Amino acid sequence: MNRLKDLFSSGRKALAVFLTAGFPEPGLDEELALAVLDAGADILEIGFPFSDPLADGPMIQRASELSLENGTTLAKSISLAGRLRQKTEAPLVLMGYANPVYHMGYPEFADRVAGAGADGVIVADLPLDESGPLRDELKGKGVSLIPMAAPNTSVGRLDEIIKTGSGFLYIVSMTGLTGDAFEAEAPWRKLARIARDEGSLPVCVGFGISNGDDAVRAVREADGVIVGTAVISAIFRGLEDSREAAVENAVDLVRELASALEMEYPFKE
Amino acid sequence: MTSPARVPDERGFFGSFGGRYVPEVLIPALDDLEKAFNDAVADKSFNDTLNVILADYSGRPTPLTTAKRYAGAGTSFVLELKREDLNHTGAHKINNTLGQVMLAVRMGKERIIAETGAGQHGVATATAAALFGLPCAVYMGVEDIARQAPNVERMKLLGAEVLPVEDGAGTLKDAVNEAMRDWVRNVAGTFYVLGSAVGPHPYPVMVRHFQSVIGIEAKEQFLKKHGQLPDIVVACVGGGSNAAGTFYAFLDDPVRLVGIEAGGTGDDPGLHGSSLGLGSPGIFHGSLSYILQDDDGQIVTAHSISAGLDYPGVGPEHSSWLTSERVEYFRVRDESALAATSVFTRDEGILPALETAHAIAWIGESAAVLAGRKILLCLSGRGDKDMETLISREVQV
Ligand SMILES: Cc1ncc(COP(=O)(O)O)c(C=O)c1O
Repeated sequence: MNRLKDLFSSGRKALAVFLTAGFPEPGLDEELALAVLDAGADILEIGFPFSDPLADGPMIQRASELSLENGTTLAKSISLAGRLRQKTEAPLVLMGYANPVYHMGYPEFADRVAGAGADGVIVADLPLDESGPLRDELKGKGVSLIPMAAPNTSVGRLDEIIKTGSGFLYIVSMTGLTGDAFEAEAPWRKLARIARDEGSLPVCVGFGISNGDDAVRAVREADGVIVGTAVISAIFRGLEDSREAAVENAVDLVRELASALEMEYPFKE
Repeated sequence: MTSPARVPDERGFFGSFGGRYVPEVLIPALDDLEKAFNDAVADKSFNDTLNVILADYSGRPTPLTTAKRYAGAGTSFVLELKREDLNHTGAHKINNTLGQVMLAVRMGKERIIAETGAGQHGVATATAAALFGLPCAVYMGVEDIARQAPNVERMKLLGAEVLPVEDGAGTLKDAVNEAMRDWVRNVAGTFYVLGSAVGPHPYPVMVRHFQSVIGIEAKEQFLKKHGQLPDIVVACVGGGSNAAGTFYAFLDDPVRLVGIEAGGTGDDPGLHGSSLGLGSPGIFHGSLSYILQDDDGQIVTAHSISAGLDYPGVGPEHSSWLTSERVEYFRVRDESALAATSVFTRDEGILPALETAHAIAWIGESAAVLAGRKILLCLSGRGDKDMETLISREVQV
């Protein structure tokens, strides 16, 4: 069974939503995950927290910090994926930084991730050059190590990234951090076009996409979009009120994103 | 004693440590930097210009001073001090920043950024940026801003913008995070001047290269003075730049190399900065090296009385020297460093930086077994910046 492959081969423009495990608190993370899937997210990215999230802007940094304060670990984040797998068939992707994974050990990490029923892993600070050992471990268990490309990635390197990658190609929309402003007409488009012409990996674009409009503009050149900071920020805003408002805010945003994509790219099952 | 790799391999690994564990967006910048660095060091005119600036501007070669009294120096053992404190701006840091800022100019970069802990690297970067007329921003943790106030004012006087970092403990690790984030956002026109032999390839080899002038000079000076090599070479280790720069010239010689880490207030997590002595291998700030981490692979906050050693990681080349056993590493606690500062200053008439004081304290504590030996110490910097800490801890200087 390959849930990512099935999703993309259906021709559907995919909506991937990022949530941080253990944020805003254990239990509520699971509720949020199920709610956003119900609201139209196609892929769930489960962030496992790290003390020094270099590629993240203030919003996801704060979520990661709270998650750690709540006692979240890599093992607990993987367990969350496992619990979600009991309740959904949507592709689940674990996302975070290299050190917790390295510290757990690649073989054990691969075992646990596969055991939980997750489909892919994204590691923000494990570029092509250093990703071989983890990629091999995961491959052995049928889990994709989803590669990332940036707007300044050379075409030659992109080729190598696509050749060794699986799941999908995550194109970062700008030379910036999560939560920075999205630019629709920017160098990432050229990269996305080249990658899609190559044809072997679906392309998702992320970083900065914060509303339906961004999503529609982004997905013209891609097979899917990834939304993180905007959802985390919606949750933070809701939390000022109540747990319910937090869930509601996230659901509203995901509905807006999903219906904008659906409107532009009607999908008949 | 096995012979360690002298240079990192083409992927930036010193044995099994090093590499480039960074977001993809930084890879092209690191490729450019590596190429520019390799071109520059092979270019006679770059090296000649750098050497002239090191001499005429920074005051190199720094002298080798024979210690007179400290802990039996001059009677029980020979102690030679490589006076990096006599560099312009008061520490070894400027050897590296002049080299890197020259490289930035060569690459056509328009803006300099840096992180700083003790403020020494920040001051040295702001100085080099001023010399070459480039705008400069320095990230500094709020805790460090409080304890190194004079250096903050110096950076501002030099025209640099000091950007306070509130995250985490507000120390060096957090400043590096913010500097890297700035670099990610402004990667095309900005040059990140990293202050120690840490980070993704090519930083560890580049910083060690620019600092290797310390060991090269010291070796020649020591030979001239004593007709032999030192028996022991000692340096303090934060990220490891002054130590790597000092040790590098002696790697193939029958010389005992000793690095001193921050022992802080104890061996429990959070109380010290001893990545090599008490840490384990992990991936942090762009390379695989010894780091301080918990059971989940989260980075543990370091502690040291000296801001320059208050860092939960260390350069990958030191990790390779630890595992190959080419270098021995020990740790010295806050109290010992403070006490040694006081004694050494009165004995020698030199106020050392608190970072250096850790290495000085180790020599004092090891005096009995050092009898008859000839020792070289890298006196990495002067202690003026630490006056507030010394006064608040009631150290009698
Ligand atoms: C005087 C002095 N010595 C030593 C250090 C530690 O750094 P490194 O280990 O890179 O030499 C610092 C850092 O700020 C310093 O200012």
